[in-house]
Amino acid sequence: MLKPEIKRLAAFLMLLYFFLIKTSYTDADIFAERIVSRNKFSALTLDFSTRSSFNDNLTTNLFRSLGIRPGGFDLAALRVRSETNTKFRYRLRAVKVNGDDLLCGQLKLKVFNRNFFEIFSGSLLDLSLTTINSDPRDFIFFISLDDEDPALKSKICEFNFDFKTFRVQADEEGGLFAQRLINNVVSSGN
Amino acid sequence: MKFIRFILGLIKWAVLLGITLLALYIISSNFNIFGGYQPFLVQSGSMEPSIMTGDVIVIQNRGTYFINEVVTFKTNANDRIVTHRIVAVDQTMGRKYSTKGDANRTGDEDVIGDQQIIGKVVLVIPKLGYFVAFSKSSQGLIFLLIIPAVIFILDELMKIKKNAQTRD
Repeated sequence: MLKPEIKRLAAFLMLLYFFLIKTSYTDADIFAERIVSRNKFSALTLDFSTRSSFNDNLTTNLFRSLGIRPGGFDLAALRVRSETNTKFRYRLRAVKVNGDDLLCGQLKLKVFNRNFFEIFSGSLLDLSLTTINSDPRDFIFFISLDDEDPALKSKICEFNFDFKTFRVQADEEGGLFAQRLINNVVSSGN
Repeated sequence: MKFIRFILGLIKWAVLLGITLLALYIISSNFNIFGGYQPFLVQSGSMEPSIMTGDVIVIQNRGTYFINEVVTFKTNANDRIVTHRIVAVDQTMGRKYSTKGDANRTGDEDVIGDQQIIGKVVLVIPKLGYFVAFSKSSQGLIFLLIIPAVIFILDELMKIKKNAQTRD
């Protein structure tokens, strides 16, 4: 006969077996989570319009100056108006679209505000203005041809005033922005 | 004659043991022979240090549960079984429980209902879980069931033999 201790151990092992074999599995999920509350997302619009300073009508053209002669000039005015409540900045450049490089390069431009304060003076294609919007903003453009070079005769220069809004830097790419192009044509006489 | 009696005795005990084991297995599979108690092996550590990975917990179905009790429940999403502590009870639309692992910084996303809770943890057996996998292997079957069963059979055989010798 076996010792009682051995039989007790055997009985214990058998009970343990039934207990373990019946054991299921449970997870105690461990995780880390951070909650950032009070998030707010809003999309703003930087829309603006270019309008006639005379009657406030929308416009996409400004200069149509045909047959300009050396010493000649032309004047035109434009109103830039924000279509939102958001204050934004925009930059203004002159970009050649078509025509003669020489004539485009020789055209001079002056830009004044409504009080005839000069804010730019130089070659047309050097135009680069950045401004903080104070709605409405009026621009008076004065364009002239001072050079008497005969090679400038019977030439055409088509260019755009390129208005583009920006948030941080004038040359930034992407993000929200609005852009308006004002087309201009200047031709020289013969 | 003695030899036949010996063989019959052997068969009797083997059959008895087999029937007992089979009965135990069937009963334990389909009914709660432990009065609503169920063992679970904890596989992860969100309840540390009160329940460590590898511990075996014994839970009891209580029907109603209270704040600060550790409960084992089925999750809403995929019926996974999780063991966490009740940190809040909402009784506005039935009893709803918010749970959280002791080692987690934030609570569980979903609230659970009574019907999802399997039971409350009433006993923690440290490190026993490491034997669970062993018990479910063939080595575990031999060591924890067959050898003890053979010990009992041998003991009975020795009793039979001794009785036979005494009669002679």
